Amino acid sequence: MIRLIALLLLFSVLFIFPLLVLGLYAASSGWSFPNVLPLSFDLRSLNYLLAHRSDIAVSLAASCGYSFGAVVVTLLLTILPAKLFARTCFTGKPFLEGLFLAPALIPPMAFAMGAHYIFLYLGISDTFIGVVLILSLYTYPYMLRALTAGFQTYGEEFALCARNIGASTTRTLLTVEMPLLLPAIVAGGTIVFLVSFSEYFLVFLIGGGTVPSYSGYIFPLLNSSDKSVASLLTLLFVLVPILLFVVIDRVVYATYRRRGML
Amino acid sequence: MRRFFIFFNLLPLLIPFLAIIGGGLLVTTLQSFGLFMFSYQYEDMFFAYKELFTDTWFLRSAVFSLYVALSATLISIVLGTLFAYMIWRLPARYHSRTVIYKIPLILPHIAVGFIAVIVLSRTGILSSMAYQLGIIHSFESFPNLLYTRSGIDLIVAYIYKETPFVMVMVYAILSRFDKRLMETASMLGASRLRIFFTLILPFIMPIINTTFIILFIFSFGGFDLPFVLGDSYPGMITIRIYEYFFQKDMALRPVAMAMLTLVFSFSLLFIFTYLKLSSRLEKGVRKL
Repeated sequence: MIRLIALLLLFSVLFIFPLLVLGLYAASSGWSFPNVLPLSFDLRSLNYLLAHRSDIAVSLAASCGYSFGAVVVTLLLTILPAKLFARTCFTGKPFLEGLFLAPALIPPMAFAMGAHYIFLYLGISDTFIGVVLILSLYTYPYMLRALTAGFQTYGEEFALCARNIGASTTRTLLTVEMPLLLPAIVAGGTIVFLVSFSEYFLVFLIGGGTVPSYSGYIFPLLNSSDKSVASLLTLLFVLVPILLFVVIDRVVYATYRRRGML
Repeated sequence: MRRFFIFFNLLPLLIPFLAIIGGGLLVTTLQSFGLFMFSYQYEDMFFAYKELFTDTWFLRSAVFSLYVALSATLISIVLGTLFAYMIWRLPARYHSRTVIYKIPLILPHIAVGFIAVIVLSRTGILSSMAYQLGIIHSFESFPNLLYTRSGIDLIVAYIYKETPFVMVMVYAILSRFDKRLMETASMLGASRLRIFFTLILPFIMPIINTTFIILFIFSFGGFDLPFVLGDSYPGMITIRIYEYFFQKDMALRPVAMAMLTLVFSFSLLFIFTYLKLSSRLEKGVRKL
């Protein structure tokens, strides 16, 4: 018990303390050296939020939009290869598995700046589709890993049984395979969403400033002298993924736990 | 038929992969030699590489990036392994209560950079605390941690972001470790340290190697965090790439691409060498 408390204290100091600082900054009217706590509080940062609510809402919606788009695209890209990697053995499989992990290993700048040229050529640079595509190509390894593991947790027999008693391919997919695979999709999708939502550089490079994004919106403010507003907007940046996790946990995982499938 | 089936199932990923990742890397490499550079023509194919090596700034930036990435990754690995081990040693029912350590995982890099600025600056939180504790008497005596060639701001920010990642990876492997082995070892009189170094460490070494590769290349080639933490001399190599790509004359873009090509080749070489070395070391252990 004492060890638990000691460890929790240590983790709080290391990992929660910075968030606390952000919270205090957001509420303060000005926090200057050498005060350890801000001397006065006001609602200035909140007023800023209200005054700019339409800009903030648009950029948040755009960020959520392309991040969710990346989840859908990565799912489409990886579902068949994941099934193949989980269920079949073939020559060159380890090589391919390694090769497909590449985007998670090499610096994304290396392919993104070249891809920018290709996107210019295709006419999809500075577009929403371009941003979704580049984020998908950067984040799909997480989805691929999650889906491969998901397919490995249950055998082919489920789908085979369904086919045997006369279910069509689509019906098998929708009523047998999808429910079994959903936890893996959610797990992979969460990481894809989170990485896409947090990304600054790729969105800025391919979106070229015409595609709104929350990271692009707050970036200039982070370097401004008004730390109070910047802190509040940074907290908002973290709040969205946390809300997402809570909702997913309540809706998806709770259902599965109730049915005893998890 | 079977071959066709395999190929068909790989296509949805293979086509975009080859077109965008493969194509992107190819364009990067070709442009570094001055080819496919819109309407620009270059007489010397190697002009970008010559430009890089005529001055020392490129090497300085490369060394600085290596130093930041290596320090941050090593410290994160040590701290993360230690913390994960401490959690794992707790009674199992307490494990889930330590979940707060995952907070930095969901913080975007630019948010971590901003936090680093307000905590580490000379008029920041740490400095204020040091003043109140009587360690310093004015903010001028607080060491300058931001935007310096010590790179401490970058290293600390990366450690904050990466330590929880190491913890997640190491904890996942540790939870598969058979605790009875430890009991046996301690019954036979092994000290805690000895148990850790002869039982636990070899068991988690493979995941540490993987984590090391991921984190090292990530911090070496990362852009968001150095970009928020501002520029410093010599600065991270990714910031130099950004400058050549966006801020200088378009005709100089091959220089950015040459740097990228070198960063990419270095990453590949690093992964390859590291995997070779670590597998050789593990083999050596088994022979003993």
